[in-house]
Amino acid sequence: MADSDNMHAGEHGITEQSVLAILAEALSSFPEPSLPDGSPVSDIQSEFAQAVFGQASLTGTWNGTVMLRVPVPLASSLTSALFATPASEISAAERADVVAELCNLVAGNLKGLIQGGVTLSLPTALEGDAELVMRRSASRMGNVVVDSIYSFLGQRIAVQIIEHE
Amino acid sequence: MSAMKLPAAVNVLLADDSRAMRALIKGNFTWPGTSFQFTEVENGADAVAAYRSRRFDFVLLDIHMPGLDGLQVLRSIRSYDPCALVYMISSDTSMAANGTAQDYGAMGFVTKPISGGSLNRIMVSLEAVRRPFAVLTADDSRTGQALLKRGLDLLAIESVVTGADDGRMAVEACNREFFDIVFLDVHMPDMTGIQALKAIKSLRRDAYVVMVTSDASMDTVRDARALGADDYLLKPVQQPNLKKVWSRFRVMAPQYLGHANTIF
Repeated sequence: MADSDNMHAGEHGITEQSVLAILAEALSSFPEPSLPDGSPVSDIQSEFAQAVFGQASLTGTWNGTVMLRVPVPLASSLTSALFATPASEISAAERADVVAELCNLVAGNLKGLIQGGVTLSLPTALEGDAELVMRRSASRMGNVVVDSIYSFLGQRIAVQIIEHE
Repeated sequence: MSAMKLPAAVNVLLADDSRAMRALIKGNFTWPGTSFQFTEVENGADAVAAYRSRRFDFVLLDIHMPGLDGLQVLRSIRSYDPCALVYMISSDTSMAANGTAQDYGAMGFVTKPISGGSLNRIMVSLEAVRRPFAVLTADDSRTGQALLKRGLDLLAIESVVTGADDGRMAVEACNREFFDIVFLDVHMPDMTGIQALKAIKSLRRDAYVVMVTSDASMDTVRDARALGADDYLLKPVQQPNLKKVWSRFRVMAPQYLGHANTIF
């Protein structure tokens, strides 16, 4: 059996399939939101022009970061359904809370897959434009082991798992 | 709403400064199918302390006692437990005492000695009582709090849900008021769920605490269990899991008069 300190994401079971399954389960615990406002956007750059960016890290026998990017209209729909508040009245802080919690759910469940001791950070989330999101991206700090898009309500959630050395 | 039979055992806190009157009340308190277990105190301060150390199904409270009088005790108990069931007892038959007691949230007022008719009235009103569950959800994420509340609503559990944004607020809330069940997120800033668990259990040993976590590693669950957590619930909260946790709570935690039968 491999030494858990030297195991990579895939050996712990952190794969695109497992990550997307956890995200799907997390989203299924939310009340079903209405379709986000506005017509569907076909190109991904426009879709993420305004997004809520969330991340949570795991440190220990495996080091990595879970990153989610949720388009603002979709984050608003999820938040609106959960807090039973019209989407127009939802604040950026409330959207950030929802996306941070989604990150926490994904990272926490990944922790259960990892062999050996791992510490889960508190999740953070920030809303901004694509440039801000790019600036905040941790992808340059390690290897991208999962880089996927999850389709939900005709919109897309970008999911990245970064493995740090 | 139809009346519900009283439970087989009903715990009563009886506060009266007269030992003779307490004996008389205990002797007269009979009702078919129910046995009453009395805890007796002879002054108001002891009544408040007794109620804070464990919840009673209902309280019989003399209005005129030395030190804290019955009305002050009523106010204190109802502030700790807004669903507390309290009957005031007094030889003072004035409507003024009755009115004040009702204003403070007493279920009713009976004159001493308690007649057969008064006893019947108390029992009938107790059978009609429906109490919501007092639930505390502590999570630094309002999203986490809302998801749990939604889960309880989907189970059609009649509850009053209070939110706490961190462990410290959860401990303060438990010190301030009674909760039937506390859901504590493990992962919170400042005071973690595990630290809050220790503090809450030291306040009230029989507090029923469920640790809620997205951290699916068994170490966390073991740590929480070792510190006295009664159960745990994994996030994202799935309804079948919440149903099981709730049913275990209903079986394991003390049962109180007036709670709906919500074992799934």
